[in-house]
Amino acid sequence: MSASINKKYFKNLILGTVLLAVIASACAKGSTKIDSSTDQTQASSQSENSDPITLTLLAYDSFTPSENIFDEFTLATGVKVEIALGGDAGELVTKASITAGNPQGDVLWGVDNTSLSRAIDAKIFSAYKTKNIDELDETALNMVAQNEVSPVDTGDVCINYDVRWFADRKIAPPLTLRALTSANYANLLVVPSPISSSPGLAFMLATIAEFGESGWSAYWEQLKRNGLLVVSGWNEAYYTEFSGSSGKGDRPIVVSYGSSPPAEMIYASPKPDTAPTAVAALTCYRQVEFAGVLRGTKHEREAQLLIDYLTGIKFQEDLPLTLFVYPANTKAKLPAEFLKYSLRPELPLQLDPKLIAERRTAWLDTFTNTVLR
Amino acid sequence: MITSYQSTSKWLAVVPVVAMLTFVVAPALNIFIISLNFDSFAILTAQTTRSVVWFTMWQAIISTIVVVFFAIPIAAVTANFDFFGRRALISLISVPFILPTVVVGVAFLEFLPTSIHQSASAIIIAHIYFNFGLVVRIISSRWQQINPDLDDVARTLGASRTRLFLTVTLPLLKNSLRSAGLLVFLMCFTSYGVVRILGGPARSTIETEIYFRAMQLGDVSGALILSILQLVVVGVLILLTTQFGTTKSAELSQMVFSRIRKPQTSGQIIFITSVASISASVVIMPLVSVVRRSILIGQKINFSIWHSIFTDEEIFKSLMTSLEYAVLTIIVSTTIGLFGACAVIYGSARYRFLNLLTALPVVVSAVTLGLGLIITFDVNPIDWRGAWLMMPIAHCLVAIPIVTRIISPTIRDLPNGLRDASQTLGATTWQMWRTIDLRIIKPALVSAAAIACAVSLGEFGASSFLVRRNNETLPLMISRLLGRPGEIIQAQAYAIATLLIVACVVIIGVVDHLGTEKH
Amino acid sequence: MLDCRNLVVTYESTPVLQNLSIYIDAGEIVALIGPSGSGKTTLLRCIAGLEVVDSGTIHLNGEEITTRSANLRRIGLVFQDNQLFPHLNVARNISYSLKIQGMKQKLIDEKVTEALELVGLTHLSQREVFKLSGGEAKRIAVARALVAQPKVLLLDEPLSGLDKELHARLLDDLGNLLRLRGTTAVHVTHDQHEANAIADRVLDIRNLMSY
Repeated sequence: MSASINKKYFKNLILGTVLLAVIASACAKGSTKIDSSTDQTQASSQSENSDPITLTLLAYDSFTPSENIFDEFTLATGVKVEIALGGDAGELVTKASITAGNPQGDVLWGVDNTSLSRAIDAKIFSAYKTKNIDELDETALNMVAQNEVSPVDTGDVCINYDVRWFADRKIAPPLTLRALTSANYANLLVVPSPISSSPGLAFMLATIAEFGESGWSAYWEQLKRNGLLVVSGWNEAYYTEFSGSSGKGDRPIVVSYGSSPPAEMIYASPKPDTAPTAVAALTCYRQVEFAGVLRGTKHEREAQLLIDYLTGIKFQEDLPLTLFVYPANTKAKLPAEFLKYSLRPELPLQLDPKLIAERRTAWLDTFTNTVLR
Repeated sequence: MITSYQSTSKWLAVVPVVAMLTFVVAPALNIFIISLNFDSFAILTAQTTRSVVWFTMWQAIISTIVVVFFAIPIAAVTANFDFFGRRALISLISVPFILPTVVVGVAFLEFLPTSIHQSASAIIIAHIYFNFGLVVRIISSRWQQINPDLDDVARTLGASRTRLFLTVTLPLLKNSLRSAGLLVFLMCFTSYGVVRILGGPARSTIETEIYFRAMQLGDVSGALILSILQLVVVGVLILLTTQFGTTKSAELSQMVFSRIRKPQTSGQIIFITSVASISASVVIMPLVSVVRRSILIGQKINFSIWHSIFTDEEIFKSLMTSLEYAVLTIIVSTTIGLFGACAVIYGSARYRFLNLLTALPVVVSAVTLGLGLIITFDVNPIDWRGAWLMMPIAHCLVAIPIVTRIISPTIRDLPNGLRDASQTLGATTWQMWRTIDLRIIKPALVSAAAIACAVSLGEFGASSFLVRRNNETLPLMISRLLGRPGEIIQAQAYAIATLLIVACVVIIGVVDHLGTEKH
Repeated sequence: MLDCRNLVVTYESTPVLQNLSIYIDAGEIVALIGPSGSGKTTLLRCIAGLEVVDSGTIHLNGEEITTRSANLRRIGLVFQDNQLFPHLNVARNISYSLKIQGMKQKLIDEKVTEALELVGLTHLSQREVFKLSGGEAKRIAVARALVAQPKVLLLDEPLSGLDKELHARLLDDLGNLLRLRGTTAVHVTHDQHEANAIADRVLDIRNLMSY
C-alpha cells in the first residue's frame, strides 16, 4: 500500500515540475515576443543608436528563401526582417483585403497575376516605384501600370511528363494542349482542380488563353471523355498520382511547374543521368508574382527599401534554388541546373489580369459544371 | 438546480461568458458587420448552394449511421468481455479522434481502392475512421452501467442473446446513442479536412465552400452567408436534441457494474477476436503508412530524416511552441470548461444558454472565426494579431466545447446526497466543492485536460488563419512542408506527423491509465 | 425432477462448489441455507444456466441440461433486488417472456391480468417500475417469473432487506402462491426461520458438498 502511495507521490511531483518548467519557459518567451511585436518606433529615419526596426514580411507558406538572405539588407540599412507566414497565396490576399489600411505586416510577397486585380481593387498596397525598375521583366511590369506592386519572380505552369514512361513504351510524349485530347493519351493526365489549387487555376487559364472563351469548355469536355483525373491539390497530383515523382503513381502526365524537372534533378538521390521529367513548352502559362508595400504600414520608407532589396540582384539570384522560380530581374544570373534542365518558353500563354478578375467566378462555375459534375 | 451552490452559478458563469463573448461572438459579429453585403444573399438560392447543402446533409447522416453501426459491436465486446489487450484496444481506437486530419489524410488514400478515391464513400469511410472510437467509448461506458443481472433475468425469461440486445440493451442505451450520434453528426457536418483531402475537387460541403468562397474567390460576404446558414442548421440541431435528451437517467444507476467476464462460448471468442482485430487494424494501417513514408525515400529505407528531426532547430522550435501552447490550452480551457459546466448544472434553467455558448466555436465555422479574429484584435493598443497569445487563444476556443461536454455528465450525475453529507459534517461551500465535487470529477477533469492537450497539439483550423511569425506549431509545419516539393521535405513532414501520432497515443494511454486507476 | 450431480465450480483456484449434489422432487419447495460466501448464489446461477460448471451434470425431468443455454432451460430466477426492466412498465415486464414464446397479444393480456390478480396488484398494470414500492416491486418480480411457467423457480434471497411486517406478509403470500401453482422451487435464504416457514425441506448447502 505504501509503495503505491510513494509511486503516486513521485508521479505527481514529476508531473508538477515538468508543468512548472514549461509554463515558466512559456512566460519568458511570451514576454519577449509581446515586446517585439508591439514594438512601436516613431523614428522614420534610423541611426545606429535608435531602437532597431523590424519589418514584417508577409508571405505564403512555401516562401523559403535561404537562411540568412536578409543579413545583407540588415547590414546596409539597420532594419531587421521577420518573415510571417499566412497560408497559401489566395488566403494571403483575402486576409490582406479585409485588413486593408491596417495591415498585419509591412510588405506582402506573393500576389500573383491571377489575384492581382482583386488585390489592387481592395487597395491593399501603397504604390512605390522601385529603384531597380529598369532591370525588371517588361511584360511583368506592364501588368502594373501604376506600380502598386513590383514583380519579383516569374514561373510557368506547364504540362510535365514522365520521360522514362514514354520512352519505355516508345510513345511520343504530348507537346501541345490539343494533343492531350487524343486517344493516344487516354487516361494518362492528372490535373489539380482550379478551384482549390493555384497551378490548377493557371492551367485552366492556359486553356482559356489557347482556345478562347467560346472554345475552352468544349476542350475540357474532350479531356474528360479522354479519362482526365482531377484531384484537389497539386501536392496530390504531383506526389501521389504522377508516375515521374516519388509517389510512383499511374499517370505520366501532370500539371506542374516549369521548374519541376530541375527540382527533380536537384532533390533526387542518387542523381540520375538524365532528367526524369520534362516540360511541354507549348502548354505553359506564365505566372508572375509580385511584392508590395502594404498600405497603412508604420514603416513606409523602410518597407520601400525592402522592396528594392527584394528586386535586387542578391535576393533575386537566391530565388531559383529556393523557390524554384525565375527572377524578375533580368540581370540576375541563373544556376547551372536551371540552365541545363529547364525550358523557358518564349511565348507562354497569358491573360489580362483585369479580365481574370472579372470572369474568374463565371469560369470556375463553368469548370465545375463541365468537368466536376 | 443544486441548492448547495445556490449563488455560485452567477460567479462561475462570468469567466466562460466573457471569454466566449470576447473571442467568439465579438469577432464573428465584427466580420459580419464589416464584410456582409446584402446582395450576397442571392447565394442562398443558387443551384450550387443547394446541392452543396444537400450533400453536406446526407453525407453527415450516412456517416453517422454507419459509424454507430460500426461502433456497436466493438462496444459490445469492450463492455462485456475480458480479454487480453482489452484496455489497449480501448485506448487504440480513441487515437483517431484526436489525430489531426492533415496527419492522416493523405496516408489514408493509400488504403482505398482507386475507384473510390474521390467519392462520397471515401469521405464516409474516413469519417468512420476518425469518429468510431468516440462512439464506442460513449456507448461502452453507458453499457457498463446496465446491471448484468438485468441481462440474466431476461435470459431466464427465455430471451436469446440477440433478443436480449434488442429488447433490453438497446432501449437502455437509447440516450447515449442519441448524444453520440449527434456529436458525430456535428463533426461530419462541419468536417473540412476529410472532405478536402478525400472527396476530391467535385465534393464540396458547406465548410469547404465557405473556405473556397472566402479564400479563392475573395467573396468574403458570400462565405459569411453560408456560414450563417451552417450556424442555423447546427444550432437548431443542438437545441432540439438537448431538449429531448433531458429525459430521466434515473433508469440507470450511477455505478459502473462489473459486466466484464471471460468469454464462455467459442462463438463469443470468435466474435471478440474478429471485432478486436478488425478495429485494431483499421486504426493502425493508416498510421503505419505515415511512419513508412517518413523512412522510405525513393523506394529505399532511409533514417536520415529522423536524425535531422531531432537536430533541426526549426523543428525543435515548433515542438516547443506546440508544447507551450498545449500547456496553456490545458489550463485555460479546462478552467473555462469546468466553470461553464458547473454554472449550468448548479444553476437554474436560466443558465442553460451556456450550453450553446460554450458550443459556439464548433458551430461557427473556422473561417468565420479566423477572419473575425484578425479584424477584431487589430485596434491599437490591442494589436494582438501577431502576438504570441492569439494562437493559444484559438486553440482554447476549439477545445472548450469538448472539455465542457466531457466534464458535464460527471457533475450532473454526482449524487447530491454526498454534498448534503459533507455540509452536515461542517464543510463550507468552497470546501465542499473542493473535497466532493472536484475530487469526484477528477478523472473526468484529467480526461478533459488530456483531450484539450491533444486538440491543441493537432489544431489546424482556426489557428491557420493567424499570421505566424516564429510561432509555428507542428500541424501547421506539417501542412506547410507537405505543400512543398522534394522527397526529403515530404519525408520530414511525415516524420513530424509520426511524432504527433506518438504524442496522441501517449496522451490517450495516460488518460486511460489514470482513469482506471481511480476506480 | 431436478437432479444435480457432483457439480464442481472453481473460481480463480478457489473452489466454490465442491462435488455438490442435490435432488428436488416435482412440486417441492426446498430452502437452501448457509453462510454468505458458501456458494448458494453460484449454485442457483449454475442451475439457471447463467454460469457453466467445471464438471458434474444437471438433469431436468430426465433430460441433461448441463450445457444448455440459459434461455432454453425454462428455469426462472427471482433476484434479491428484483431487476425489473426500467424501460418497461409493469405489464410489459410481466409479459416479457410471453412475447418471446410468441403468444398472441390478446392471450398475453389475459395472462398478465391473471398474474396481477394472483399478486393482488391489477391496478398497477400501466405503472412505471420506478414508482413501485418495495413490496409491490417484489410481487411483480415474482409474477413475471411465474407467468413464464418455469419448470423450476429459483429465488435468491427474495425477501431480504424488508421490514418485519412486509417480510411476514410477503413470505406468507409467496408460500401460498407457490403451493397453489405446484411450483418446484429452490428458495435461498440466510434466515433459518424463513426457511422453516416456507419450505418442505431445508438443506444446508455445506452438507450437499463432498470434500
